[in-house]
Amino acid sequence: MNYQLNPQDDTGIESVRKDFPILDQKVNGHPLIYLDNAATTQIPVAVLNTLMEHYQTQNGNVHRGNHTLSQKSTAAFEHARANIARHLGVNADEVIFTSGTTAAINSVASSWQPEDSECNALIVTALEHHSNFIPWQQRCIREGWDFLVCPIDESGDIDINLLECMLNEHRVGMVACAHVSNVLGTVNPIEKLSEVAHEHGSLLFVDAAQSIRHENVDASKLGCDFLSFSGHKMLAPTGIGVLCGKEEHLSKMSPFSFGGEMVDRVSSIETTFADPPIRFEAGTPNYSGAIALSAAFDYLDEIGKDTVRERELHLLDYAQEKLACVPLVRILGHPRERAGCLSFVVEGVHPFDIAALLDSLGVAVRSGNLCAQPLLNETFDDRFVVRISPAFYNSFTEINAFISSLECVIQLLRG
Amino acid sequence: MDYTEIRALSFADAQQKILVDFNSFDDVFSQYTFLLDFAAKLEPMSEEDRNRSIKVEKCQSDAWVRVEKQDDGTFEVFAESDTLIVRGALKIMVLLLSGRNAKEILESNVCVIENTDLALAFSDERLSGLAAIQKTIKEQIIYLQSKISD
Repeated sequence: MNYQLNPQDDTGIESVRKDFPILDQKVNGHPLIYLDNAATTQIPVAVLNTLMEHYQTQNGNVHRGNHTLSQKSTAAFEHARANIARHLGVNADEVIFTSGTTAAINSVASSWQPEDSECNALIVTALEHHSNFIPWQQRCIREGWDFLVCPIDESGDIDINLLECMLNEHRVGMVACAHVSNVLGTVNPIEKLSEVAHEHGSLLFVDAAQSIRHENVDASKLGCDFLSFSGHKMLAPTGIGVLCGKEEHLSKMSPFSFGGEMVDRVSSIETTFADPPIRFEAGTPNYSGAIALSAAFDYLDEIGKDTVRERELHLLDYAQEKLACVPLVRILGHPRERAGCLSFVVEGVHPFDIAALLDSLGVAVRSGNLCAQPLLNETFDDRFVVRISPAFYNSFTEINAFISSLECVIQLLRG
Repeated sequence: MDYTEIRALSFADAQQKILVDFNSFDDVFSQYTFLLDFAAKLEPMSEEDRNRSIKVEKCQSDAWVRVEKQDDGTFEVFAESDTLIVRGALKIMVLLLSGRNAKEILESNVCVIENTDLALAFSDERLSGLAAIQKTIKEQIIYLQSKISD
């Protein structure tokens, strides 16, 4: 299908929205305006059809049977791995399927061993989601290492000079950071961070959950050692995600869970394990999810990855410009580069009240601490915020309607 | 809205009266607006009184509740929250429970929100927060009753 979606206005948007029937509904009597894509995205018909076709024509457990369905299923699963690897610029053996970003981070945080026997610290940034904060913090507690949080400046950008100071003063095994912040939308300079981390003998783990849909996530170009993301943030179902790791690191890592298929030989004396990626996929993998995730990558290709990125940037810029004109609204951070989402507070009004009332007008936004309590409490002194996160299937008309609804809600709540 | 005479009604009739008023609005936004009218009528709680109250922490909002026994054996409920929507729900609890005796309160089940269109708009977490507040009120009454028995 030729979409011809214009990144700068709503030309061509109807052809895209037809692919997402869920968007064509009323919520509380108002047309749905779904602006919570940082939490989860909607799934296009093409991906749903892939999933349905798989179950209708080729479902069989993978890597286990000699029968035709198992072989077809295995071929589709491994094709998905190869396709996803191609999109990430890595080898298929470097793609491990997980249940999502959180599982991927926890796996590495628990199983990876630093080569430097004198490693005494790990670094995360102040921008992190709890998923890319707590697993590293807990590892440090277990090991007796220092857990260091690299601060951000007042704009919401990582202070790279401070990061370098931390790396100079400690034997850091891993720096973990988000590609894009789930609160501020800050796009981190991953290539630069990779360079800095590697110069100091540290590895870099990138949480790409918030960037995978719209940024160029080429792990080899980014230079990171590990990268993870969830399918449901990029038009695929929940329960599927990817841990991408350099072969040189994966080959040295022990399995983080044990079970069927991930072994070489098992006896009552000892067990030897398969090579990556199978070593890290104990039990029946979510192969149907992987097949759907691969289809989601293909769908984004059809729309055009550059178009998706450019359109989402325009939508976000437009929303930011309009929001800045709404009295009492304060937008958090002004990073050098923002993508995916932005968060704001309204003076004297609780974010929960705003989100609840917006929902009554059909507008879906996220409110709360966004699983980023360290960032909100320790950097911004805001316990809760409202977040909007448009996707390419949103329209500029919807942004206008959101702003009108917000003004109406603020007027009601301020009395 | 005028609920000055609501204490004269039984708990069930009082709750039904508020429920009927809510459901006279046929869209969620109007029901929220009505709920905010309740919020505006909840007496603000001073910092000092908050410190004397029990804090019920639920995701995204905090609430404080306190129960005081009156000379005539009835109880007065005081409440506060940092969000207007929860304040509205608390005002309904205060209206329905204050001025009643321990037996009436302990046997009561405030469920106005749950029986309006707002039930869908309220998350499960929010509804369980309201249930926790109601439970806290009852626990305070049981505690106050036990103190009297001592």
